[in-house]
Amino acid sequence: MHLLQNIFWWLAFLFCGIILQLYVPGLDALVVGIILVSLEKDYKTMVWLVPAVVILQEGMGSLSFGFSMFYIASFFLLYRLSQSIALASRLIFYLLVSIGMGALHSFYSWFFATLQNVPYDMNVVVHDGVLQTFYILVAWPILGRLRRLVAHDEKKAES
Amino acid sequence: MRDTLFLFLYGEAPSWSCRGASPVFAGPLCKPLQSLFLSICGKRDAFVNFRHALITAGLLLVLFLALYTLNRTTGMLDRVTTNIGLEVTGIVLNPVRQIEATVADIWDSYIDLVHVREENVALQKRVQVLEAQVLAQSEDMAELRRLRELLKMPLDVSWTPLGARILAGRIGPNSQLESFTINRGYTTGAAPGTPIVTNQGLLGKVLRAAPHTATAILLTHPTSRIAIFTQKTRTPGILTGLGPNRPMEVRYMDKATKAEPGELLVTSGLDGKYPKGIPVARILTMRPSSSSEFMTILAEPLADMRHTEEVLLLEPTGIVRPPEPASPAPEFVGPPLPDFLKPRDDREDGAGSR
Repeated sequence: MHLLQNIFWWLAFLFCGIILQLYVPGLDALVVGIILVSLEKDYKTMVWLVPAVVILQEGMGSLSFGFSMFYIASFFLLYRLSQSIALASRLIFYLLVSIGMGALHSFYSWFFATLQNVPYDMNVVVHDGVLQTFYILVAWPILGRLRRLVAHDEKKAES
Repeated sequence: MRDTLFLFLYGEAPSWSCRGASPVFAGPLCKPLQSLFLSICGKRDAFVNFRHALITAGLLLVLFLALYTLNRTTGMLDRVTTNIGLEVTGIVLNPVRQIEATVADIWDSYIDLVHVREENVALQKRVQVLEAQVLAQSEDMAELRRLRELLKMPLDVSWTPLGARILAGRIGPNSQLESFTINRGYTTGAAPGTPIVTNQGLLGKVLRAAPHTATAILLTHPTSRIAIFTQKTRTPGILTGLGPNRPMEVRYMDKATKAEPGELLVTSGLDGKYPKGIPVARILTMRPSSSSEFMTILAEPLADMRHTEEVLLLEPTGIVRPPEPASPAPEFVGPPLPDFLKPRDDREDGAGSR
């Protein structure tokens, strides 16, 4: 039942993320899910969620395969680095990951567009990166609280 | 492993010594590194984590390069992600768009009744004008049919129009500026390469397709190459995109052309990718090139690329277009043939007349 509740939560997250991306062009709304499962150390969910996010983002995009896979792999690297640097402060960790993911979004947009000889507008690239940073800053605590509600219910049921 | 990596990076063996939690490294290159890490967090664990992260990054990079190369050569990963990711996106977006349209309909029908009466009067007048126009058009159409019959001009049966709805513009981080998603896929008439038009003219073509959803690119994309000619003077050329928010360029148009700014460019159909006669762009500026035998022409696309909701896909029917009516062989103009090259009858006639 709780497994189903968990799966349903993530499916609802993916559904809402796709709809959000419809209205906010260039945003990666699903990466916050990867951040949350990493924090929860929920490796069972990570096993299917990471490929699902990569396939969805690569499928709905128009560039050749590569961006999302690299972006998420870079997140894991950034996550470990941020953990090392910001051992004492959760706030610094939170800021480092958010700003880092925004900067990486801009960098990879530029990098993959250049690699595949696709035209790009630098203003849009930078705008998307800034938007990504603010999105993570806002969505991470909100979705984290929502996740805690589910996790709390699970623990309550287990006890 | 740790020592090996250190040796590889710095060219000498490290001398690890734990005084409390602080590392002490040997060698001149290690001093700045040590001070950097000590200043950041002051713990040896940080360097170990950093080293692990570095190795992970290296492995991920190798994995990525392998997958990227595999995909560039086979296109396998693109096919998989398109068939699954794009299809799922279409499944999510289609109901959202339908709900959006339903809500808009309810709003228009039941709530927004304030100006209905005035709008009704205006619409009735508009209907009258349109009816008059339809009558006039029907007369023109009848005349066109008669003239076509008279000239035996074949109608182009090679393409079938299919309606489609734009589901989204640029969606997701992996999309480029000049792309949009439509609610038709390769099983419903939107195979890659299918031309997309609006009532204003050519809009683009299908780039990638899932079974019921497809991603398309606009004709202003730099990879676009469209065989066109000018509508009045019929001078051929190749129209190419220069990127977002920029005019298009016409290449290989003869300097002798009599085209003028403002003239329409229509598809010539010579490339086999687009049907003949679809308006594409309007000439903005033109001047003879100083470095080649062609004109330098800039043109603006006709289709509104920002406010389009419905489009038409032109699906090839597979029916070969009937050939143009045969014309008589051109009359030979030139010096008279020598006697030995003339047909025998002509020679005999010539001798008889002498």
